[in-house]
Amino acid sequence: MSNQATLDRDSSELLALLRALATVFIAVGHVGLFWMNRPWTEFLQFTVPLFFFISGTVSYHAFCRSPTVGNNLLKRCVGLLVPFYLIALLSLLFYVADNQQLPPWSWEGAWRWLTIALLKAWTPFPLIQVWFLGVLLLICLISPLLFRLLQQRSPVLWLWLGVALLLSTLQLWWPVGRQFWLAHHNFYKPIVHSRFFVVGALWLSHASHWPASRHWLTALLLTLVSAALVMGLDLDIDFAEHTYYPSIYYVVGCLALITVCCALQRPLLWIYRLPWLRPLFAFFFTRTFSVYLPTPLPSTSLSAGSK
Amino acid sequence: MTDASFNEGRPFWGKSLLMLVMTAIMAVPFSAASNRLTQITLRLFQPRHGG
Repeated sequence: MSNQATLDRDSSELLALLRALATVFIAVGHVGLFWMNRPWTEFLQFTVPLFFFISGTVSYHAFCRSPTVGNNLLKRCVGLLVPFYLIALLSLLFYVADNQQLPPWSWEGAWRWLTIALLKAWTPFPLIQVWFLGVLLLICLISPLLFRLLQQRSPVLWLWLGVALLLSTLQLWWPVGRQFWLAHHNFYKPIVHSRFFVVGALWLSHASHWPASRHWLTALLLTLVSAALVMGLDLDIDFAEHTYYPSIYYVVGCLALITVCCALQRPLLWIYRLPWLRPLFAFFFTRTFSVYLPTPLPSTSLSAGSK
Repeated sequence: MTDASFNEGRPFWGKSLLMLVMTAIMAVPFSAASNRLTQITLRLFQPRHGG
């Protein structure tokens, strides 16, 4: 495959830092940071789309360097599924230890566990955050097509992004997201979140060398659009009201915050390169899913211990 | 999301730091096992080169 995407040292380190910070924010967010001072702390929920953005950049870079599409797809899928099946196995062990028996068998349950479409009631500790992995897996499966369209500068890619934007706009007036349930998966989420993934690939191929001023200008425009949506349509500014079925306000707001992160590249890199902080960032950067997936385990065990 | 009872009666930052440290400690063996299993799985599916 031709290499249209180069990941220079600055971009690579910025992505590593953002991934480490997003991992920490999501881990702490799930024990209360997100709802500590609503609606302001809820804006930190943008770290989830930030993950999709980072996945888009890294996946596109890997796609351009991979010898075959199949090889690239295999690595991505195995890299996502293995940590999930490991946490699923741990979850099963906890269930058996707690109930002294295996959970009741059902084909629906087996399908849900195999395809990362879990029900909260079926897990011994809250594993609801794995929705992210399920959505990312679906996006990864269509990513070779999206990346090929990007390489060919095809208008079909813009059509795809336009459809995703249209759906999230409709969501403000009509619960369009609910119409996308099929085989226990909601396909609205991957369609809308694929925007962040594609924007990540676009940033890597086109915008990673933009000066900070252009990033700031883009962030300002996106913020103005978000503000116009809130004021014009009298929306609740709390991201929590827009995350389950992402609306256009959530999409544009998250893109604004992601662009701010890119605009802050120089000060962020200065922090990343502090020798005493770097091992800490490296720890969380290299163990993203290993921190993200078992997050509820310590909190659940602490809760159980405090009762 | 986490059990709501976890949020009761604990100072937020102390609780978060404790949770983060515990998660980080658990992440080490989880990450090692996950990486090893990923390598084994990839080796099973990818054709061998050379030889």
